[in-house]
Amino acid sequence: MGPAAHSVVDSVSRVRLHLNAGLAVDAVIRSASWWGYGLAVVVIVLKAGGWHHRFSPAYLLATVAGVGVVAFADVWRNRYGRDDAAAWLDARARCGGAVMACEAGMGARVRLPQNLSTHLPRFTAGPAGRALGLPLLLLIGAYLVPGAAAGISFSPKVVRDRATEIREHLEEARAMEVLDQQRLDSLDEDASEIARQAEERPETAMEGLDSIQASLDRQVLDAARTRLERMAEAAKWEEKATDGRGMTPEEVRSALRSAAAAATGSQAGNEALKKALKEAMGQLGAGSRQELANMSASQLKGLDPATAGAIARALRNGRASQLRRMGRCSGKVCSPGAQTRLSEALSKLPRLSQSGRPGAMGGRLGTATGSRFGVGRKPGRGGISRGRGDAPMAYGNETDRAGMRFRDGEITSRAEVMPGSTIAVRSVAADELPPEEFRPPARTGAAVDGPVRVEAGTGSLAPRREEAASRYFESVSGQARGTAD
Amino acid sequence: VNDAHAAEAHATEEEVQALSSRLHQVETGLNGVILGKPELVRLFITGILARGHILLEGLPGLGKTQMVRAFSALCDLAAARIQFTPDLMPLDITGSYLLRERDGERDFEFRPGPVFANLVLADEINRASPKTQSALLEAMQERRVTVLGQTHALPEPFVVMATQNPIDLEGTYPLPEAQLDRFLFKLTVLDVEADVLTEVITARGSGELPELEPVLTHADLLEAMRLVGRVLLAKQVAGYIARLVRATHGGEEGGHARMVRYGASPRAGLSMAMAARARAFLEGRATVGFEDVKAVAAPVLRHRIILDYAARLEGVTTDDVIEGILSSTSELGRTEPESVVARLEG
Repeated sequence: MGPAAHSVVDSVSRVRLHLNAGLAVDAVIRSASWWGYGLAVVVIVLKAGGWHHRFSPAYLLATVAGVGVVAFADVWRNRYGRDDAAAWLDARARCGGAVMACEAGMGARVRLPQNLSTHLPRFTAGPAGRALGLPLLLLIGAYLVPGAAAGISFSPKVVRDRATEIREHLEEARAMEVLDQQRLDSLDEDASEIARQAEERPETAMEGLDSIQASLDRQVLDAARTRLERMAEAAKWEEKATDGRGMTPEEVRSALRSAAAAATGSQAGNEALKKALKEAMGQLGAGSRQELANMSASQLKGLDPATAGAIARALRNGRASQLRRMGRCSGKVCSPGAQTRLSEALSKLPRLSQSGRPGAMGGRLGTATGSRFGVGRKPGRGGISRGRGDAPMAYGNETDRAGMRFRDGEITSRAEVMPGSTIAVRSVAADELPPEEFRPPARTGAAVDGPVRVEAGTGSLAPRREEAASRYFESVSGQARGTAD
Repeated sequence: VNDAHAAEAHATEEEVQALSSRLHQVETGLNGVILGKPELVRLFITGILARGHILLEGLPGLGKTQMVRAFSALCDLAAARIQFTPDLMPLDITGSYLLRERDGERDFEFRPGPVFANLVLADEINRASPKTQSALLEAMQERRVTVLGQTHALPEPFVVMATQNPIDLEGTYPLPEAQLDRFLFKLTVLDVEADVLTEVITARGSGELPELEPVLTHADLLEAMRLVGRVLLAKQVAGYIARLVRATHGGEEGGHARMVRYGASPRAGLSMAMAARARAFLEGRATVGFEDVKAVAAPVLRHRIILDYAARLEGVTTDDVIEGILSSTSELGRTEPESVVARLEG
């Protein structure tokens, strides 16, 4: 083989390399395209079936690996040999068979074209854009489509059972003595009314019951937190006022006597003060009640009407400040029994949260974890409003079963709606942390075990759900502020 | 050793060019006689170099006979012309035995017919009876004739140029497909342009063939034919020929090849390979390229493809089918990578 043939060998090698590289690019594009279509279909099917999962880098790695394996197999099966490359070069350069003759070892018998080694194919990105555009868009769209919820069907019996369960929860909350009894009565009445109308619209009734359960959870938690704050505040004041030793009854009596000696009172003022003190009796311990009884009977007779009225208004209007003042005097806020019951209730909260039965509402929805108070509850979308008197209950914004395509994200009464349809959740135990130490988790959903247990999780909400959740938590925060005030 | 033998079996470029340059003189001489048809002339010479018989189809008066005579004069070959008529008998072509008396003894003497020539022009072959046609076609295939049990070899080279008139077909005997397959080429002689006709009228007042001197000897032509058989045909090119032939048996959906009732035979592949070798030889190359195959594909396949009635109704010709096959059949038998621009740099 002469020198000319040697250059042809080089040219054939380079052409072969380019052709095989082009083949590899084609195979990758083709494989990625089919993988894109396939993954999009799989994602759509899974989402239609209720699959709900965030994109993970592992998926990307698996896809890249799959594309690579398929592309490699394709290239290996269809790779260009030297004969193919020689024929390609011969045909494209119009060499009249000379290149193929050189490749066949007969280069000395033919004449080769000049500058043959410069004839190389070029690459273009056009096919990639055409082939990958549509599957890529389809895949992105498939990931963005919200997942569908599984078909939900409730029988009236299930609704009634759920109503019975919620009424039991209301009774438990009533026994804790931490909620307004009238509010509990109203919720109980609503639950009973919903149970009576379960035959007509079971899905909406179930959502209404969920709303009641969520409202109950929220109020219990808020009340418990308020009590805890008061106890902590009282303990702080007691320690500050008495240097840690507490005030004795004699010191309380002396302080009140000093106030009484400073004024001349009237009977009307004394009566008003007596009434206010009587109302405050339920908030005090036995020792403090005795002291106040003694004061109202003997020491406070001399108070002038203005002073007695001011003390009475203070006792009526500012329950928290009143309790602080009383705590400064007596060192106690709640009766030992009430304090014990409250502590027991608070200790039950985490346990109750974990003991939710999946067979209830949460189990039927597939994702929600049933709980009485705390995390994992699903407030639902539909709402109910009471009519006047015995008027039938009006339902609004009901759920259409045919339209139940989107899966609800889990929200809790202690959740904070964050931008980007993400909610951060903190459990009751996390309330023991100062606000500045509470760190919402970053979109991963995690349970952190530490000195103080913090449960946290995130979830995505469909746009319509997001709006409902926002309204819900706005009302929660508003009520919580009202309770704290 | 086998590679060495194979290499020796192939012609070198110097050997090829030594004779192809002289064939170019023949081609130039023919172009001087047949004006305005250089491609037809080249295919005509290509067919003769490939030892193939040629079927010329065209209207009368387009120079078919002149071309045969001119070539025979330029190559110093014996030429004969047979006008086929319905009453033409086989012995009129092959020759017959005549009873002769010599020195008082009578014996039969073979009188060769017009087929015993290097170039035989069978004019209007479709006007003879099938029996007579078969006699000529047997001679074309066997390159010998048998009369009264005696076999007589035909001279080398032996090439038949048969003409067909595409009009006035009443009372004719169209050649069957099996006999058409014996022709290497079917060349269509088209009408001439006005300017060419003007030149013909000006230069050929009486229509007489100009005086031509032989530029190639009989032996040189035989040597050229022998060298054509030694032109290298790479297996990729052979594969391309095979794919072209196979494509005539039914093509892709939507292509004209779907209108083919009968495709080309393996003999068509052999003929195409030999014709491509001859064309490469005429180009002065010792190797066959893909473009050689493309150049001879139409005349080789034109009379070997039988179209169905749908083609007739739609006005699709065999040339349309062949053009579609050539455009849809890749030289490599595979599509190129899409991400590689086929256009070459440099």
